[in-house]
Amino acid sequence: MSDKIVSLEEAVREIQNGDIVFIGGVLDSRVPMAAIYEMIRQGKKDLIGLSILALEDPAVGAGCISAFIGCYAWLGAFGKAPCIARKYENGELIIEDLGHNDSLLIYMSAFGLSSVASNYSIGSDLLNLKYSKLDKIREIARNKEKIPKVKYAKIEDPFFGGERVLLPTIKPDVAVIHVQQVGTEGTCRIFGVEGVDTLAAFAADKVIVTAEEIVPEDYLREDPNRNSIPCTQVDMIVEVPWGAHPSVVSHYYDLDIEFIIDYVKRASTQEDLEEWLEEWVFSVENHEGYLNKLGIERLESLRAVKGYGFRPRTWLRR
Amino acid sequence: MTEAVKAEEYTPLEAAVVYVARELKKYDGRSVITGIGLPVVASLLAKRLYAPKLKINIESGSFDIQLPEIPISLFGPRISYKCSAQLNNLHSLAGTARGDYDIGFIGGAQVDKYGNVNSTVIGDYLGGHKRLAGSGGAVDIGCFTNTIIIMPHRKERIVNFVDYITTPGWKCRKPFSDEIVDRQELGLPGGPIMIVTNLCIMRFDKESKEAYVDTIFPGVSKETIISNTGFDIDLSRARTGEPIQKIEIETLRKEVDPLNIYRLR
Repeated sequence: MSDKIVSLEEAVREIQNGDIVFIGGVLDSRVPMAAIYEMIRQGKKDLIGLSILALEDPAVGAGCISAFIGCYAWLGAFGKAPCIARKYENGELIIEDLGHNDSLLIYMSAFGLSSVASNYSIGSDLLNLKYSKLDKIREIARNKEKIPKVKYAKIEDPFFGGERVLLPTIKPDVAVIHVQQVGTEGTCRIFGVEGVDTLAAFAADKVIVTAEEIVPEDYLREDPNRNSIPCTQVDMIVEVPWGAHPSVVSHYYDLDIEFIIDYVKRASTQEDLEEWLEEWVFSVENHEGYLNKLGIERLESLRAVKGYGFRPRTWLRR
Repeated sequence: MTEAVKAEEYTPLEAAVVYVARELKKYDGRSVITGIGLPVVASLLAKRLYAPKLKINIESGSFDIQLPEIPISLFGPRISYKCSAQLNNLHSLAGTARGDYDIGFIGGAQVDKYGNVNSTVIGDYLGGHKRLAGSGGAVDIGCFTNTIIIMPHRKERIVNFVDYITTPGWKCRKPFSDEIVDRQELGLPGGPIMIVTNLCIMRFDKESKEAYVDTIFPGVSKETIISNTGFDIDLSRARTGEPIQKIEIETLRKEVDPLNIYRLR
């Protein structure tokens, strides 16, 4: 068995305060929630999030994430993210705004590039440098040289003429990605929406994979075209069934809508959030405790139906 | 089976969805890039009634999606279910620059008379302000694609000029400056073609690039539109929309969104 397989606690210990952290999945899909709860238990500080900040909200409320470079900080159909809104208003969360493509093109560091020409934000105030917060974000970064000196630069295009916008790339210190299946050597198989997890896994210095299940490497290698991340990129593997709850994991389980609605209500003040954290993160001690608290009935009600990849809303309802 | 429904028998949001679906008729066989909420409901209604060959795409890397149920997550399995190919987000969203999409949808907190949309901050970014969701894929779509903007019709949301240009309309920001310039000067293709609210449809004057009221939903008065618009709105070209048909409301309620996921009614 590979020595990459570790406990969730060990894996999350690899994340250092002030790290630039890529958190995998997108918005409310395949978000590594078990790892995020463990970051809260370990009291991480000054992490810098990237691209999209959504169900990571409790980690913002707990003070783990204090900066964000990306395009979207909200809970999608669930509306305002309570802790993101509160911490931003108090000046405890710094946000650098980008468009969606640019918030993904920053991972072109995966190809060894320090910048790319991007024309995805022309005409927008996103290109107005007076709004940039990179200097403030650099102050909290552990590896200060990884935060670009400016948000964008204007250059003359020597090849085709005209002006171009250069976007600097960013190299995450660590990527934490939740996948459906990981082989014992680290090969990952993702079902459904990928986000840009593959690109980010190539960009990050260190890659932690949490997975619904660890499967034999050979099983995944029978169909290598279906695999998303090669074992060579993966440093640590943790088996965490239901490890993205309450987000949705294609082919495994559906979004826990009631859980998220309840969270949004209860996280609206810092005092209430602390009560929520005590109930769902600290008092349960670990992921097994969290699952026990959720209970088998609730988890089974979310389980995806084979052939769909999700649980149809009227499935088996009488 | 043409049978008109009285205005009191449907909600303003249902009317908005129906008028958008009718607009999509001209895009049958072509590609739309959409998000969750009203746009996805309107696209599905259009596919049932007016544009059966409409190709619906999402910035989640999902091409020609089928939507077996109304999705809540833009990045979940209801989106990737039986789509043509599930690649990464860049594959689909960078398609805007390739010109792959014939029409796109934009939402936000404010739209101004030039069709600029703000989904970043309300107030002064460098002073007192309230933070919103951020661009998401809006800027990437709005820079290159013809767009339909969807906005609740309220004075503070349909404004003279947005507090922050997240997505450029017809008069937008010159890069690396505070200057406002014509969209064409920046070489941007596409641009907003209409704003759909719960009261009316606005389009943009070819010369002035300003929004004017094109279609008023049945049962809505001009005074209601004037008092809910944050600038002097031109109503001289306004006509009342074709009545909503029974089949449109029934298809929407019984087939497209039977569980009323987005609280349209």
